[in-house]
Amino acid sequence: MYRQECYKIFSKKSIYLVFITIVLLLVYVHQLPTDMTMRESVFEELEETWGGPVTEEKVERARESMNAADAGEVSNHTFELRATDYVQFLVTGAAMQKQDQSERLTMLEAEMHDFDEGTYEHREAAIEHDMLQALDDVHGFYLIRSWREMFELIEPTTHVLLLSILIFLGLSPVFADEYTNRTTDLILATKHGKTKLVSAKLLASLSYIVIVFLSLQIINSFLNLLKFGGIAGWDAPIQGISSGLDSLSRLSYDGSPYNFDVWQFFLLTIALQLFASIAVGVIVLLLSFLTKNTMITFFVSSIIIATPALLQQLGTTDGFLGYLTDFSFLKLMQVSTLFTQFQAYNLFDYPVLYPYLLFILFAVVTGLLIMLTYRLFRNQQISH
Amino acid sequence: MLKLIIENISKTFKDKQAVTGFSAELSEGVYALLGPNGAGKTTLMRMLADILKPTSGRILLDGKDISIMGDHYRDSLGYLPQEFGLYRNFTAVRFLSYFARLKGLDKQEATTRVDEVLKLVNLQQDRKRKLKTYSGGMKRRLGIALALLNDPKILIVDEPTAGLDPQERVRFRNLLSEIAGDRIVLLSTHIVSDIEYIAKEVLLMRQGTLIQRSTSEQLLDSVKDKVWKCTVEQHALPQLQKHYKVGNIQRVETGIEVRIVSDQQPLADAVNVTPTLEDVYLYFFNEEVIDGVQAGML
Ligand SMILES: Nc1ncnc2c1ncn2[C@@H]1O[C@H](COP(=O)(O)OP(=O)(O)O)[C@@H](O)[C@H]1O
Ligand SMILES: [Mg+2]
Repeated sequence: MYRQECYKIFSKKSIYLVFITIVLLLVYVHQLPTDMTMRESVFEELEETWGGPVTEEKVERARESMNAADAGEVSNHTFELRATDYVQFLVTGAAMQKQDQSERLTMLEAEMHDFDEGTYEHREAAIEHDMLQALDDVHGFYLIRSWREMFELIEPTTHVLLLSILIFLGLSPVFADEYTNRTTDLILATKHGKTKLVSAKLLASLSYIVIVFLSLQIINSFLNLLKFGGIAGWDAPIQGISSGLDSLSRLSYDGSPYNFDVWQFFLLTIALQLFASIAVGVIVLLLSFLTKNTMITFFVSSIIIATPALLQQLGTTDGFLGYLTDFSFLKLMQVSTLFTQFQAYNLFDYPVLYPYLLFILFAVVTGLLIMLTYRLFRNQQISH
Repeated sequence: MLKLIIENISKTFKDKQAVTGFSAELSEGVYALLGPNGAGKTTLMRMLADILKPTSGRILLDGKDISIMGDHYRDSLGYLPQEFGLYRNFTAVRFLSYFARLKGLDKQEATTRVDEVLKLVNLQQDRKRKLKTYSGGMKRRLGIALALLNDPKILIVDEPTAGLDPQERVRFRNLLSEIAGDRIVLLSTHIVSDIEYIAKEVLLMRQGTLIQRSTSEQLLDSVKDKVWKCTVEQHALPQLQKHYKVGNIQRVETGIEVRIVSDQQPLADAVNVTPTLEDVYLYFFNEEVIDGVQAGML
């Protein structure tokens, strides 16, 4: 049963067409020139000198050297010099981040002082304070190559777009096609047609998502390795992925309070993105059952994903709509954006970190939606 | 001894009563559910197939309520809906294997059983063909093969001959009597010729209720002296149709030969003839007469 459900999904030619188009798009985007990929070996030498956490001494040297360059004392713009200048710029940037962090710590301490213990404000300040405190000399220059573009396909919104299209395309027909084909009567009158069939369809859909997701991840990683020439930086703190680094996503983690090494963060985002894709898949399946129509499912799913983006564009992100946007499938799928800054929500007077709250919420919702799908499918009446 | 009891079941859709207080006890054998379009046959059969819940009443298999039996009941069930679709890109083998698994057969059983049923419905040559290339008759046969996969104790087929050409209908009828065996087979139709010879009993259904239940012989017997034949002029026909249930009409040299079902002799020169099930149909389903006759003449 599972095998045939897979066959039904994978025998659709459109998914291959779209998949190939997406891969071509990725290839195209990745061959666009990037100013500083840090592929060159000169950066390894520079890392010897400037790498690791910033120190007073490094910043001092960097500033002097940059001033000298600006004053034209060092002319002769070779690539090496430009690279050096770039690294020094990153070092000074890191120093500023470090400064920001210590200022933020002071501010949080003040806040904790101002609010009584036991208040939400105090707790929220305390949590952020502890997180920042736990970051141990994370700011600095790290030679980070592929990783800065590995956390999403191109950038967070394209990531959502590309994955969603494939999920919608593959899963919209899963239940709807049974109605279009008029096979539901046949199926429901069989022994396992009311329950195990749903399991088989869920499993086949899950397989589809995992395969699509992992294939794209592998292709994306491979393209990034080609572009940046290596996995250097895997053990750097994510704060090393700063706004100064050239990357397609333009995401930077230098202000992030989360204490992850790059490889840990990579695994985390992959896992969460996969979960997000599955959650989206589950809602598509339910819509496929409810609407009994592939096109409508595709359409409604797109609206569900895109609405928060539209709301943001329109600037209506206050109050209830703001919550709807924050706890939307769109945000859920844009995993790499969730960890760039501190954000917590008040849950019964306790602050819960936004990304974790988002995932717990959607884990529960997804579980409920799966149960609902089983229930509705089992209890449906045929009388058309 | 298998026993399926339909206990006073009714089904109401919003404002429409599709089945009303239908009761019957069925044991092994072929039953024909005969009634005009809209009589409630499909609705009744859907309830028997466990895909539609009755508004009231119960259905019992060997004393157990089928809504409680659930999977177990459907395990003994073969159902061929009046209208059904196929996966166009599946081959017959893939299609049947899929349903074999849905019906709870394990892989090994599925393989052998798929072969068996394909042979039974004479589709083994076309087993590897995509279903989109199948003709209407082949689809019906495949449907029967599907219904038989799990060797069901209860076989429910809803208007299986609709849309088949006369030759295919004969073949289908033969197939059905061949597979009847020791199952309960319930076959619905509004085409009387389908059930001659094969049905052990005929259940006449009209406006949601069971109006009569008897063997085909008894049914024929009940209209024995009520079927007449006579030849009339063309212009007398409308008048005749207004007052009597007129069946087959045939143009002959001397005028028009009509078949009339009536308790009294309709015309002086009308003679009694041997009744067929079509006459029975005409007799019982007065209002739906036109529809029934047209279908019967197909
Ligand atoms: N889902 C439904 N909603 C409303 N009325 C229905 C529905 N299904 C069937 N009916 C009505 O119930 C009656 C019996 O229909 P059906 O069981 O299909 O009869 P048959 O199969 O004998 O032609 C018809 O009048 C039909 O219009
Ligand atoms: Mg019907």
